Amino acid sequence: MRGSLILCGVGGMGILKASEIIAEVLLQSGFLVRQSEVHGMAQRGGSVVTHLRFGNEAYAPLLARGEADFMLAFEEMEALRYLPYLKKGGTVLLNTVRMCPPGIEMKRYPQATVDILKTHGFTVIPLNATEISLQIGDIRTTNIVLLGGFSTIFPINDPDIWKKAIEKALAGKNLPKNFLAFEEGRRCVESL
Amino acid sequence: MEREKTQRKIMLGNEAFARGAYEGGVEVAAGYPGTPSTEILEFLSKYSTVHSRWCPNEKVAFEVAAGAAIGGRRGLATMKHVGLNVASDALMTLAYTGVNAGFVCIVADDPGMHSSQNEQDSRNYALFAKVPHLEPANSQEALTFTRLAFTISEEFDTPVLIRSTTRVSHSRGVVEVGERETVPVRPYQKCAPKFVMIPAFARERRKVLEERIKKLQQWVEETPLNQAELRDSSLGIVTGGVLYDYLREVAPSVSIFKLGVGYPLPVQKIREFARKVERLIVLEELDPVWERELKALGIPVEGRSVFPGIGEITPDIIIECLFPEKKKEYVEVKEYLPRPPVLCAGCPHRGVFKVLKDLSATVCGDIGCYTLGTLPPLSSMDTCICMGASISVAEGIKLAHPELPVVAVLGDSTFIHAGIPPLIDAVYNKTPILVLILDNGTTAMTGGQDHPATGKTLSGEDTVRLDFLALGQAIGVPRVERVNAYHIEKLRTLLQEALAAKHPTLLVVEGLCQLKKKHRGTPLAIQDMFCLLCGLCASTGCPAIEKGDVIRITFERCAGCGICADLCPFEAIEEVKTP
Ligand SMILES: Cc1ncc(C[n+]2csc(CCOP(=O)(O)OP(=O)(O)O)c2C)c(N)n1
Repeated sequence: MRGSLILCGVGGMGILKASEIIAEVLLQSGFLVRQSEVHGMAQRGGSVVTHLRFGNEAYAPLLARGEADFMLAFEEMEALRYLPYLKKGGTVLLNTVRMCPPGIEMKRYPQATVDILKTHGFTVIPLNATEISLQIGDIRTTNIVLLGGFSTIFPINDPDIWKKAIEKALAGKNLPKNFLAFEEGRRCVESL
Repeated sequence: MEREKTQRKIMLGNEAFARGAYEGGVEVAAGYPGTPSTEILEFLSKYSTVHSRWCPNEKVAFEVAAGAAIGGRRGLATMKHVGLNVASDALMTLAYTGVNAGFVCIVADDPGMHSSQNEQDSRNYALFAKVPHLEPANSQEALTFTRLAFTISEEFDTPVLIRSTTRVSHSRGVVEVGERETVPVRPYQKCAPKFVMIPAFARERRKVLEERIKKLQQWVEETPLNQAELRDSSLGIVTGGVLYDYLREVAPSVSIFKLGVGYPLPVQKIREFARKVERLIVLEELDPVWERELKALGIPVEGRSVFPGIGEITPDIIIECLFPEKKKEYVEVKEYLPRPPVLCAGCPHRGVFKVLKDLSATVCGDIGCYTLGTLPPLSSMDTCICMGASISVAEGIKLAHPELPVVAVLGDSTFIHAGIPPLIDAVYNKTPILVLILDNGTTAMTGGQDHPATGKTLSGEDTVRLDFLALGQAIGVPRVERVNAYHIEKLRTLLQEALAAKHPTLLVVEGLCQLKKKHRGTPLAIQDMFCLLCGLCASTGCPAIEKGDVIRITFERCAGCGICADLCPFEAIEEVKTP
């Protein structure tokens, strides 16, 4: 098996952590993994993207356009920005949250992301992970809610492997809350 | 962390560099932060057996690590590409003296300028200084090459450069970790002809340098770090670093000559490879360093005629330039808006730039988070060249145009890095400029590292805290003051006074970095009935303020810094009252 995915969103949403967890899940499942991320400037509220590739062989940490099997979009507009990396007919797990860039009026913000994605033949799985994380009481669990949802559509869907990777990546911090976030994400996508 | 046995792990390139240095028996590691190199030292500092430290700048770091090696313990210096400019004075002559125990410098380039002011190619330094350099492609090689670099350094008695790039440093891959090598401390022996580079001795060492290169030229022909991988013979590509990994992915069937050592080149081996393929191309990012060298040797290669020399080379670019048939279908839409990085809500830098803009000052800026003051709506920076240049460039502009209100603005870490000599110059030569040190108590842009004015070392130990005011006074600056970054009107008054002065002034603007604050301030809200929509509050580009038909403060984003409330002429902004 080989595969690749794109994670994108806004700096500060836990995108790098989420990629780290997916990479660990893949390693524990016996795959090689290459993943790339951008530190520095991009973390000051800017747009953030990570590329991830896995398989029995995995070389390039960057994907080519039209290559990714999945996209995990942490924010609606960011899904549109990185769309070129997604393969035709690929799947987008979309956190249906809109974060307007500072200094730009909300009325200029794209209103029809889900429709745009569907019109172009992509499969869209909407999940309001930010909302769910707020209900759990910690917006910082948004990334884990999304991973919960993603674990149900990804070839490796054994929740125990995922939970072990989460535990490792979070160094055991706030585990009950994060496991709850993971379960909620899973439940929401499974019930769609 | 010390007790890890051989096992597979996923590591960030920079973590793997640290692991390689640890396993390679490094004892002293020094650096200055800089994307994409920063995490190497941060990871290394977790190994308590290694002495790791942040230094005021790269030159100091390079020399401390080189000194440790001269003294008999393995030393490592880490920095970003432009940092090597600062340390290059030491590099050029350390190449003459050689080392004693191993000395390695990891330098991380940033093709495409993800977080840098230029995209210079550090491989040129290897040629320039005549020292060997290694080119790891991924995390595993980051580990093994670093480990090996210490041995190479000792075997040839030379500093060794390891060149990383953003995609090596900031990508993850699977690595096998091993044990730390036990390296006995080498005796230190005074040896002036080797280590004191007066002309008479340096002339002798110059010859040693040339002999060393000859030995290295033999070694590169044998080392397994360079590999000819023969597959389809119609096309052969000479490459190194992460581009090798891209190529393996994009075109698994092409023949590759993989350079693990970027200088000196294994000329015989490449000639042999060239004979076995019909077409030979060099794939390299930034400068045509290898192409030039191979052409000079009369080996017929292509390079720049195929691939661009500007910016980062990605798998997409390789496909576009050489394998257009591999291009996949994709969808591109235009509906999204730009999302550039911004100063955080609550950032202490914001108010300063607002005042500077109001005063129409000529602002010579520097490098740090505050460089974001360049972007609209603050738009208040005139120049930014390299670390420390704010003060000296401000002096020059003042000399060119004495009537301009010239201000130099630089961060605390930047001031310590390269701002002290130019401040001395302004005092010594009596240039009437205003210097603002934006003291946010950290090196924010690179992720919040400690520095000599934070009172903490890399390992978190308490230490002496550099006092900017006392330093300014000792230098003899005629007026030295401190001011709270959030007291906008006080700032305005002080700046106006200083700009009218006939002498240099130093203002230390104090306000802790928003990301370092332990408690969030009480968020503010605009009371609509008092708001006349003048927009002054939004004129600082605060990401918590949304301007539509009405102006609103987003509760979740507001840090309660109060700058907008200070600016509001109608006192319409107040703290949100929690019931
Ligand atoms: C010679 C050199 N070394 C390192 C860097 C990387 N760098 C860019 S900004 C910065 C930190 C600046 O910190 P400070 O001056 O305190 O400003 P802040 O970001 O905290 O506002 C560093 C280290 C560089 N650009 N040039």
